[in-house]
Amino acid sequence: MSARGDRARPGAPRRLAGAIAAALALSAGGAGLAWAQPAHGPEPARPAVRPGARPGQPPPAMPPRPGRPGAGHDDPHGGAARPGAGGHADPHGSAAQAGGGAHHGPEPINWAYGLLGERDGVAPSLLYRPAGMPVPLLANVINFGLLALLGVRFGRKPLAEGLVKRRETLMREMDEAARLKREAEARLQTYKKRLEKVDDEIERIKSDYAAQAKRDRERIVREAEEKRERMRRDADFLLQQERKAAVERLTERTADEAVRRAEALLRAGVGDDDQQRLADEYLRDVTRLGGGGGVRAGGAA
Amino acid sequence: MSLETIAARYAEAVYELGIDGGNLPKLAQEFGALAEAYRGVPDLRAALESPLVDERSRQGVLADLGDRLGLDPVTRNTLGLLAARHRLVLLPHIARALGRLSDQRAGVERAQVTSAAPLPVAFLERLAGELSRSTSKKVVVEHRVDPSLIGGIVTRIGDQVIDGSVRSRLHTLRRGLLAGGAG
Repeated sequence: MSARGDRARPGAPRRLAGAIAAALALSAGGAGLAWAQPAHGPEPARPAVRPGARPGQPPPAMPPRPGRPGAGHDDPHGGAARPGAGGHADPHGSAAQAGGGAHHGPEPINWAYGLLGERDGVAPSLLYRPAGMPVPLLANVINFGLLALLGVRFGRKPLAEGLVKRRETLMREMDEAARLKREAEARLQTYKKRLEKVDDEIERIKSDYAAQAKRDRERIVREAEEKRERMRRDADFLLQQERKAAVERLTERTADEAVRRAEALLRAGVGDDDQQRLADEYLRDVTRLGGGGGVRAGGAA
Repeated sequence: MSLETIAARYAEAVYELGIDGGNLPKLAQEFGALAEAYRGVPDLRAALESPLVDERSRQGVLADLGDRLGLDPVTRNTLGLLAARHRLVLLPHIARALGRLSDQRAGVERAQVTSAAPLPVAFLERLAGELSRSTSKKVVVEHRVDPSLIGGIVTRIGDQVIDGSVRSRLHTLRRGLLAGGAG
């Protein structure tokens, strides 16, 4: 049983185990009770009772058989009935201790005497048996029957439920294992297919990369060409502008220098006669302008 | 409202009083002289505009000034009104607007003649005559000397300029050089 099944239903096995333990306890108790009575140590002068040892008793269930160990000795205390008892006569039964000789055979079977227990000085009957007489087999059978009855009564349902649930658990785990197996097989098939196509895929990817690289190269070259042309135009324009500005600056500087030198020469060279001549020219210009229909704004000399 | 606009209203008022009193040229001359003194004498300007001078003292100064210069009552009252309203700063603007109105009424056009060297009076009279003939108005020439012209004469009459100075010719020469260089 798997640990998961155990964890799922811990009560049923416990109940089953409890029922079985109770039945075993009852059985052992009954048997122990039956066996315990003759285990009281040596009781002196307890008469040995054997089935068939007295006249008038029912036929012994275990009649003495020739050659049986201990049967060939007269043991009034029944000491010879002990396993391993010595083969010599022991009036107090002390010879019934361990280490007995090998000439003792198996004890006779008590089939049904003394179902309720032992009692001193009683003749073997269905209810009582003399002390030292083995437990009747019928008592063991009854105990076993009771045990089986208790087991069936209290353990059948939990056992059945446990088995059913165990079966369900096993089926579920088997289904899960089957599902995992199917998935693994599907993945395996997928991987196999991929592996079968991996070469084609590699070729396709390589061709795609090659085509993409070719396109990128063409694009980069085209953009570089455009950028180069644009930079060339910009540089030409900038060069023209700079040249034009330089020419203008040079021309302006030259004109300023020329005017400055001319002004210096004029300031040094203009005299009163020149001033008078300029005044006369100005007056003639004003006269000419007046004759032309009037003065004009910003009129120059 | 600009100072020119405010001054124009005062000038029109004085102009009408001058027409009514028949002394418009005199009023224009007095205001012109007062404006020149106001511009040229900082102490006078400070005394008339300073808030530390009380109104009575300011009016006293103006009355004394009027007595000494023999100003027309219209001029005196106008000065007192401007001082009372703290508008003496308008005096140059009023004088200019009043002179313009007076010249318009008299048909006089004023021409500012600037030369690099002093000019003989005869030349200025001949120039005024030529300008009068050109504008068909009586032209009064106001002459001043500006050595920066180097040589020649510049006349400004109304919104027109007749520039015959050497400086102008040098500028023309510079423009020609730049135009030739650019071309």
